[in-house]
Amino acid sequence: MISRLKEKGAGDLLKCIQCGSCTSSCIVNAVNEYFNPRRIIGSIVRFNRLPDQDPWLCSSCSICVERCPQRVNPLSVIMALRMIKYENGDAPPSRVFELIEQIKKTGLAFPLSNEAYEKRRSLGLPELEMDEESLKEVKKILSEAGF
Amino acid sequence: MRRVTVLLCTCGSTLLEKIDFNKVSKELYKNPLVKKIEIVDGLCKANTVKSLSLDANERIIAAACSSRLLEAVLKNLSNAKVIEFVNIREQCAWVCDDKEDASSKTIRLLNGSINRAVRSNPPQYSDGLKIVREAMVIGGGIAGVRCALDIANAGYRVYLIEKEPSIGGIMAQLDKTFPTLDCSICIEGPLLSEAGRNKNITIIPNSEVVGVKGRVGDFRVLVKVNPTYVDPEKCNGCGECANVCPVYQPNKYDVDLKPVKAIYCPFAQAVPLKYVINKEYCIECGLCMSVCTRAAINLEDKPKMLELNVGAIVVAVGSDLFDPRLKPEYHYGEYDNVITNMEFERIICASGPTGGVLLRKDGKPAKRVAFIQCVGSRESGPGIGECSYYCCAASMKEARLILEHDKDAKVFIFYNELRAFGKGWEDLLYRRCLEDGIVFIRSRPSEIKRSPNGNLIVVYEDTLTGKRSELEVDMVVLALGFKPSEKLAKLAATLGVSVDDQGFIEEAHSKAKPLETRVRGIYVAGTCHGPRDIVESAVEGSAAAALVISLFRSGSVKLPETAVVLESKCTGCGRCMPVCQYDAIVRDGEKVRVLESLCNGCGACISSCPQEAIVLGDWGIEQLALQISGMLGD
Amino acid sequence: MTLYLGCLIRTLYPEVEKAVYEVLGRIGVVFEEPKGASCCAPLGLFSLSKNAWLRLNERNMRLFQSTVLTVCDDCFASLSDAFKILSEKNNVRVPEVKPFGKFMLEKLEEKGLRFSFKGLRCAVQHSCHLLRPARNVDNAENPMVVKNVLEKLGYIPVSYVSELDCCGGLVFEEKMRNAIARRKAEALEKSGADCVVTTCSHCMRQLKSVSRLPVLHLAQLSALSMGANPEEIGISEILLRRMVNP
Repeated sequence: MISRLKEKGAGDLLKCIQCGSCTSSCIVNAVNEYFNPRRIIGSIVRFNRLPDQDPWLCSSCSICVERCPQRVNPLSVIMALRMIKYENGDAPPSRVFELIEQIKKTGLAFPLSNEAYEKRRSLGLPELEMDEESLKEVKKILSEAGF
Repeated sequence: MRRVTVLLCTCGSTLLEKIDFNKVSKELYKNPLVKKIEIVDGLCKANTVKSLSLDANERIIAAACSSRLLEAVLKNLSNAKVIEFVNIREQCAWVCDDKEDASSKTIRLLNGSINRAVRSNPPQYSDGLKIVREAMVIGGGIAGVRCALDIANAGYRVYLIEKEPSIGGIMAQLDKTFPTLDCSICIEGPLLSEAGRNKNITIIPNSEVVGVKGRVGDFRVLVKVNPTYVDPEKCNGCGECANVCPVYQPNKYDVDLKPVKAIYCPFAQAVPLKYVINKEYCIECGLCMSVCTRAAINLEDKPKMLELNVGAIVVAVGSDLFDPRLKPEYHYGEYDNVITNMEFERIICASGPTGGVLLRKDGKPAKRVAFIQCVGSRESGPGIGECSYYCCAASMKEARLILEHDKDAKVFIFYNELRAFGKGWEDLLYRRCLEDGIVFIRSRPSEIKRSPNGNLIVVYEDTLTGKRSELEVDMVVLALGFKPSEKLAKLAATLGVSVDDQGFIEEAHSKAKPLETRVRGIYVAGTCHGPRDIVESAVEGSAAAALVISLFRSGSVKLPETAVVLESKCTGCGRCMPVCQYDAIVRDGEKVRVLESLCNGCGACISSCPQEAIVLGDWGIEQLALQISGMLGD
Repeated sequence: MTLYLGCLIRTLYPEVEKAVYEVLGRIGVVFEEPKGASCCAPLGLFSLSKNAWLRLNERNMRLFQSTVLTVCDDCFASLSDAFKILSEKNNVRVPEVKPFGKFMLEKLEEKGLRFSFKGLRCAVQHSCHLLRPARNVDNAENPMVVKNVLEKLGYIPVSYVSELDCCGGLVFEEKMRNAIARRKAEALEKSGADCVVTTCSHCMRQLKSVSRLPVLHLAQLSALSMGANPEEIGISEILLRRMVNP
């Protein structure tokens, strides 16, 4: 399991001494005790089990990366878990695909509401249109990546 | 023709699966220089050698493990002379990927050596080099003082070099020592005093080693003695000068917690008990001079250089502690009442800045104290990777001292692993802590916050329950890990010794030669060797002293061959001189000459000489060329 | 200079875009804005395909001819990291990516600009993506770049507890996202500040949803100090009344 994680970019989990610096720095853990980066890594390293915690809850703030004395990079482990759980069939939040769909449509991750369009016009801001060619290139890259 | 006998050792059969000995043997017999080949099971065993019945005229090539062990054994057990040792184990079988590789390498190595043996003789040693039976101990902490005392009591003279104005080191700054909670300076003081009185020990304070030349038994050490502006011969330590001095400066001994005058004595039990001036703060007002009845003050003092001739050197310079400012999340230096364990020691000590009362910066007593362990230890950076050894025990001791001073105080220790394995640590320290109600929390806190009322909040996850919490306390003590002293790298380079990957002085071999360094005659003791506690440091001091005494009791020093310049060939171009790392080649009229006492036999000069005028016994260009052509098979 | 505004600001906060143009115009910076550039594909969204992240940014990189000025710190991090990998992989020179805060500090220092005192107390919401992992822009445990800019512009930066905490903007679960935002908003309100200033569009969006204080991008306050029309750049009357020299 560790080699699979490392293939997906996970850092050196085996260096973890289970000190708990990551968890007590984690902003998500502050509002949800179940999301515990130390236990996520402990699950893998001590029990050779895929952790139950949802890796999509991570805010990718990287404080755990800064504070870890062993430079384990817990964030990279959580990102790797996102990929592995997806490969195992766990569905990521639908919002992920919604945002990427939007990029396929307009090249940007958010749609332009009518209100915003009017506001832009009244402020004299340029039109927000991506040219055909560029949009095609973006779509191609995204579909080749599996989206 | 001077043919050779080849002894192939299978190292107790362990090499059989790595090298095809039959193939090797067959190939080697094709070499006309080979008289006989014997495949044996263990050359290191006495019976093996006896059973070979080698006669005194045989010229042996021994192919086996490293010659370190073998050389001594074979010399004692056989009459025949071993010309060459070929390492087919560590340098061949153990580093080759497959049997074929290892076998063909073995053949090449042996052909090279056999070929070379035509022009070689057994290695010579220069024997009977003199030993100066005086030692130098660099560093006057517990390890250095213990070492100096043991050498001195054996009857030899010791120079004790110390960079501070007084010997004593870190142990002199501690309050009580674990596990017994005995007063630290009360134990060390008598040792310092003894060192000061011992007629065999010459303490040279305020000095540092800046250069070393020579070899084991005959080192010439250059020592720089920094000016103190007070003549130690005249000063009697009365202290009148400090009373009138108008300038204050930070006090290193009190970890900058309570200032002293610009003219000061390091601490009450200092050895030597002399006053010194810190010129950086001195305003040269001359008030001290006006009250000194012995005219001891000399503001014109200059640094002095001493050259000392010693036979052995012990490095016992100690280490520094981790800089807690490298962990900004703990806000050391920013928030009041976040202190280091050294600062704690000085505060809780009766001779310290608060007279032994545990006070916060605002003067109120600290009633709730948290210790954070492993600050700067067990890390991938910036602290060292190793455990610092002393801090779990030190924090438990300090926790017990807090309760001794105030039984209503509440102490919390945030630990990662609690390492308490020394004599008395489990019972006198750990169990008593639990009985005293000290709370142990398995956690490495992620940060310290400041609460509006001025207290500190420790943010942590209790890793045994998984619960994230915040703890409000009056004071946080950071248990700092060791780090190699700033000047250590430079000193190591000056002495020619190596440092390990953490930066501490490296021993020659952790089990077989634990206190020798790669330079013969230079030994190591104490925390400059790695994280240790007082007991271990003292032990290493004594052990290093034993090694020095053992050296001094041997008749003379025996060294491998030294280089010789063939006068007939030397043109005096001097190209060899800068190549020599030991400065052993000097001008001699129109030519050059090798100083035997400095030469270490490395052979670097040989390749630099365009006339091939330098030889090292039978290890010259000619032999090397033969060896190479033997290996290449032409 | 290449201007890269990103997705959120252009579609949700046009007043910030206006503020950026005002600032660049008044400082006298010449810039271009390649129309074909796509979303910067931050890894928080593209966790499933690092490849797509790299390829989209490789494409973007080809459109950038000069130093890229980002207005959102997540764009800064995404472009910076992608360009670094691309420079090593393809052995090419890549454009420098500059976050808005650093850009402002450099320009103000270069031109020796200082503005009249406004007396507005601003609490800074630091973007995690700017500070961590360290990219030589600011000190992660004591970030000063945006605070220094605010001082030069005439505002008062205030410190507060949990200043370094993340806003939670990239957490994909709504309840948790809101809980983290509320936690941050409480700390901000207790700080005594008049407004919240940030240089990241995610932080802006997160805090705007829960904070009672106005949440502004540094560009808006910069443009205000430089004399732009407050209504166009999204500064409310209420906020103006709190200032000393509006």
